[in-house]
Order: sequence, then C-alpha cells, then structure tokens
Amino acid sequence: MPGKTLRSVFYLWLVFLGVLILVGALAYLRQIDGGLRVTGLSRNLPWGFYIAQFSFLLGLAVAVVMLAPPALSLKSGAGFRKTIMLGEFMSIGAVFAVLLFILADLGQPQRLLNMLLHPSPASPLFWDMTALACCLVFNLSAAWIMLDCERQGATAPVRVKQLVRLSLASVVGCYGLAGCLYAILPGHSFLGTAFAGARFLAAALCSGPALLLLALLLLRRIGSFRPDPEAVRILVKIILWAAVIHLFIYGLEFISVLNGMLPQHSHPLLACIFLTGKNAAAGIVVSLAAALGLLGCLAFLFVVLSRVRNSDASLSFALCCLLCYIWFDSNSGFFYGVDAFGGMNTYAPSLSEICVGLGVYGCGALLVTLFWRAALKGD
Amino acid sequence: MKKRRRFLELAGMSFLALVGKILQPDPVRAFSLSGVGRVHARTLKAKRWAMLIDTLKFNDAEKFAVVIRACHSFHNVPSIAGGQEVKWIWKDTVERVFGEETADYKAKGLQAGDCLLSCNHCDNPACVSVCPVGATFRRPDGIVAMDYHRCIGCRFCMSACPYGARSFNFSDPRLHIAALNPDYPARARGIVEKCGFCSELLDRGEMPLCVKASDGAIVFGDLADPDSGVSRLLSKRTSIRRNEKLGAGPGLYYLI
Ligand code: SF4
Repeated sequence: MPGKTLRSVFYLWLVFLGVLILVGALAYLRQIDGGLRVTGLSRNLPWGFYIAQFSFLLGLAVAVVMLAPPALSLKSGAGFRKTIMLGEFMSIGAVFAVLLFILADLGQPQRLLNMLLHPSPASPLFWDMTALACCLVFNLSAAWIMLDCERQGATAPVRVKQLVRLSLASVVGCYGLAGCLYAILPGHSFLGTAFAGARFLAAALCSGPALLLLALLLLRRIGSFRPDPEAVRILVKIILWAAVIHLFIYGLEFISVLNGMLPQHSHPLLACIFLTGKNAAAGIVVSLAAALGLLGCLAFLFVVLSRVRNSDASLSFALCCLLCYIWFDSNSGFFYGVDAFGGMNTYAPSLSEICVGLGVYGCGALLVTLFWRAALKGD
Repeated sequence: MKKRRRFLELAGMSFLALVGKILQPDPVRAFSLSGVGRVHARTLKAKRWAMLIDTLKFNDAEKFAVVIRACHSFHNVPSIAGGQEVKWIWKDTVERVFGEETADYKAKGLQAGDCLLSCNHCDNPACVSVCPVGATFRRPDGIVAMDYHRCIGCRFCMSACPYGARSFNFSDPRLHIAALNPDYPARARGIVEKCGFCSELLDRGEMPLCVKASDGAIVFGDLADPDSGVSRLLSKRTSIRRNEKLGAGPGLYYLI
C-alpha cells in the first residue's frame, strides 16, 4: 500500500478514536453529575460492566508481560524483539485503560489515593493494585532494556534477565491473588471456586497474545510492518496452550457443578440455562450463555484444526472468536448473581456505562497507537 | 504566568498535606461516627454487643414500620424506590431470610411471615477484610463501624457481605430525605452505608433507636457477660442466626 493511503488510514483511525473518547467523556461527565445511578447497577448486584472490563484488561496486560522473557533470551534477531516490544506497549495501554475503568467505577473517584494512604493487604483489591503497578514498572523497564539492546546490538545481560523473571513472577502472583477476588463473593458463587484464579490466568494468556497477534496481522495487511515469523509462531503456540487449559478448566467446573448439584453452585447455572431466574431480564443471561457456547466451540475448532491456523484470514477470524469468547466469559459472571436471600438477579449495563466503556477503550487504543507509531517510525 | 504559579502553589500544598497525612502517627478517625475517642461518664460499654430479635413479638406490620421509621428518620436514610434503594433495617419473609434453614426450624416453631433484618455486626466480617482502604473496621466491642469520609465507593463490601446488609448511595441521598434530621449527618453520594448499632447513642448512655422503639421486642446487651439480659434470654429460649455455616458469626439472634 502506498504511503499516502497508509497515512489517511492512520488519520481516519485517529478520528474514530477521538469520537469514541468524546462520547465516553460526555457520558462520564453525566455520570459525575448524577452519580452512579445512571448505571444499571443495583443494591443486589453492585458490580458490573466496569469491573468486568477491569479484570479483562488487567489479564490482557499481565499476559503480554509473559512474552518478554523469550524476547530477552533469544539470540535471534531484532525483528523478534521489536515485535514483542510492540506487545509491551500494548500492555502499557491496557494498564492505562484499567486505571480509567477503576476511576469510572468508584463512587468517590477523588479519594482513589486512599488506597495508597491506607494499604490493606487483606483485601484482594490491594493485590490488584500491586499487580497493576508491577505490570507498569515491568513493561516500562522491559521496553527500555530491549530498546537499549537494540541500540547496542547485544542481548541483555544475565542479571537483567533474572530481574525480568523475578518481576514476571511477582506480576503473575499478584494477578493470581487478585483472581481470588471472586472466590469470596457469595453472590457470584459460580465464580467462587479455587479454579477461578487459574481460569482467569489462562483466559488472560489467551486474550493478551490473541489481541497482539490480531493487531500484528492487521499491520501486515495494511503493509506498515512485517512481524517476525518466529514471534508469530510463538504467539500462536501460547494462545493454543492457554486455550486448551482454559477450556479444560471450564469443563472441570461444569462437571463438578453438575455432579455435586450443591444448590449454591448449581442454581445460578441452572437458572441461566432454564430461565428459572426471578427477573424477567433473564433473557440477557440466556443470549449470553448461547454466545458463550457458540464462540467457545469456534475457539475450540481453532485449537484443534491446524489448517485454520495456517491461513491469515481464517486465523484472524479464529482469533476474533477467541477474543469475543474470553471477553464474554470475563463479563458473564457479572450479568447475574444470587443475592443474600437466594434471589436471582440479572443486570445489563446502561447506555451510559457502555459509552464510558467505549471511551476508555478508545483512550487505551489511542495510547497504543501513538506508541506503536513512534516505535515503527523507521519502517 | 499567574495561573501557573497558582497551580504550583496548589500542587505544593496538596503534596505537603499528603506527606503530613502519611507521617501522622495514628490515623485519627476524626469524622467517624464510631465515637471511639469520646468517653462519656454514662457511656455504655461491652465486650461483645449483640442484639436479640423476638420474632414472636413482631406480629403485625405496624410494629415493623415503627421500628424501621425510628431508625431511618433519625439517621437520614433516604427512601428510594427500586433496585438502588438504601436501607439500614428492613423486613423480609422468613423463607427468604432463613432459606435452607427454614425446614429444620419449622419444627422448633419458626413462624412463617416477616422478620426484621439489619447488619449482623459479624465476628468475622467479610466487609472488613475486603475493604481496600480500611473504611470499615471492627471495634473491640464487636460493632462493625464505618468511616464515611474514607470510603472510596468501590462497593467490594457490598458484594462480599453475605447478609445483604449494605447500601450504596447511587444518587445524592439528600434529594430523597423527606425531613432532614440536623442532629445526624447525611451521607455523601457515592459511598456505602449501613447500620452502626447506634454507637453514638451508646456513647451517651442510651440504647439503640430500634431497641427503644420496639417495646421490648428487641433486646440489646453484652454477649460476653453471663448476667446480661441477652445472655439470660439466650440460655432460656431457642434462637437462630442467619446462615451460620458461613462462619461469619453474626451478632443478631432471632428468638423463635
Ligand atoms: S452483616 Fe455484612 S455488613 Fe454487617 S458486619 Fe457482617 S459482613 Fe459486614
């Protein structure tokens, strides 16, 4: 594609993001003005869309972090490192979006710093915050080291590699602890298994690399960057394994729920299958479950059929399915919940919430775009 | 130029304030309604405050209404219809409240009908452990109190409370209060609130409002003291607590 068209595509994309951000900002102003009553949240289901995006994006950010060690240890070319570096930048964008989602969710956003003034390690949210901070520091330093290596044409010294591994462990550990957040919520008992943390991690390991790979394929298509084939191969491998583990854990969860049939586990599940919820809005839950099932099957096909993986178009399609599947999966737990009285509640985000969400995604994407633009200037 | 200087001044001052806040040796909960610092001559004290609700004496709707009104009107609890309501003390059906336990206890005389609900001031409160800023805390006397000025409105405590005792101010509560009581602060929009066992009244030597309004149907006292009214009643009559198998250790007992 000639440079001129490329540039107009780029500006069109910027305008699109600008519109998203504007819509989000307006909706957020409205929310600041009226309070969280403009959301679809309620006393019985106080968490929803924002928190779901928060955990989805945090997972995404953490997952991309895991790609750094091979990039640092492989002696192979600068192309590989560069590809992974794009991933680091994507992770920074995701962390930024996570922060914005936290702000959007708080009733008193101006008191956010209380989390630092009164740190409470007993709270899983503390570990979310730590994972976030580790992730940010890690990404910035890894990107910096890689840039440095590239400039000097050498691989990173052993000490740096060890440091990278250590911080990687801390990021993953904190994320795992944060994943246990749902285990203590009586209202979301379907999420409340010891598996939840592991399942979230596996889902994250799918979604992060999948989004990166999708973006890389897009870049290749519009002709602005040739991702390193070795990097693409490794990404596909990671996504495959993570998808297998995720689906496996999911299967185990279903089977243990259906075998045990403990009311607090099986009721939410059965309610969403057989519409036994007390709320008429249970329709959302059903369509959600259907979408999940369908996308899960498609994702599974991607995992088993190697032919799908080897063509660009079908790979992109499979990745899209996979991303949607993970997105729905990380959202689905929030669309229904059992209250303290055994009543089934459903929730749907309001238009205002969706607009704010789009705006935040727009901000994250804008940041990533600008980073990538700077990183790819020479190509 | 002037603007920039003003900005720098403001930024500097905020930074100093922040440092001061961090260095402060013991975070004084100056605004909390717990009244920990104030010791009154008549202050009622206990090792473990607990509340007994006599379900047999709550037999008509008016009785519930009187108790609920006494609490809500004094504490400036807004009346909002729908899913975003705020409530400190309320009623629900026995089937819903005791769920799985109902079958066991019917034999022992648990009547169908309504029963009174509130925060249970648990021994192991989930709301306290999940709070990321320590805005909800358990006092040595068993009262689970809140610092409304520290709450950031993340609503984790609401999701975690197994008894549905917490409410969030989705909108400005002042818009939904018929007659504002100047003797008790109204809360801000965007924070969570709940019953505090009337700790400010205990400090003044008075019993909680619901106890006073209940005409003997609610008994309040020290569970750790074997001679207190609650201990004696508990040893005489059958009682149940909500969802005991969770291990939260609720401080609300229902006499049946
Ligand atoms: S009933 Fe809920 S709000 Fe009250 S102390 Fe127990 S966990 Fe906390």
